[in-house]
Amino acid sequence: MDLVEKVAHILEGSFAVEDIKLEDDGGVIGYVVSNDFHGLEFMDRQMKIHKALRAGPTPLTAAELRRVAAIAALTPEEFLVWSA
Amino acid sequence: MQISAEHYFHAALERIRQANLIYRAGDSYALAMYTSGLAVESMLRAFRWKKDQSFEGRHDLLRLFRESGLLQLNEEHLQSKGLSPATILDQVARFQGIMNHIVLLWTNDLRYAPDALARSRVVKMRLYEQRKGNILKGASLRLQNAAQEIITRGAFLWTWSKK
Repeated sequence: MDLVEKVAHILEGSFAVEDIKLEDDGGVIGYVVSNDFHGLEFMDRQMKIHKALRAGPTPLTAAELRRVAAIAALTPEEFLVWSA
Repeated sequence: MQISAEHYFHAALERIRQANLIYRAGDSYALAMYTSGLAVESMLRAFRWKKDQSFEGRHDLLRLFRESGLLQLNEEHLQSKGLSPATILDQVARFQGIMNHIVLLWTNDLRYAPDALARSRVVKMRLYEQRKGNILKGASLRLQNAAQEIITRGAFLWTWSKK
């Protein structure tokens, strides 16, 4: 399982994911869309993502975590506008 | 016009100052938002240019953030200060959270958007819906504050990385 698949797998297991798109080209970037981010400040969303990536049965190693550059955590409403 | 890393860097400092002036003038919140994001884009391009001088025409902040190496440089700086791995990870998440906010609120199209259209965009996202007052003004201030954090940190790392 490559890093993108591993990150996606963890996020899908941690949040009610409606949409997710990640790519790794010298670092993982992308977005994850979930209703779980409603009412959360962006900092808190990112902390939740980090916590998920560091916990669970298959956590990322420190080296893998360093390769995760930016995953935008969006609600479905935000995504609808953002991706238009 | 030939634009170097130094030009991008100084443009970033100028744009964030100009964003603040536009915001304080009032009633030009879409332009203030556009200028705040432009400041961040300029800073990311400055760092990217030091590593890769190929032209990148897209205004994709997520991609520029990755290619700038700013996150890694920030982490290197925190490590050099002897901070614990847990503290560093928290700071990394914080940095990513700030970028997350900017990436969502900013679009290059803001340069063409009248305030009414920019307001409608924020409303459709259902951001800050519990807050009272001018929702666009609030979004503009939040974007500016987030951009200022990136610019301040970027300016520090710009100098630090030269040592």
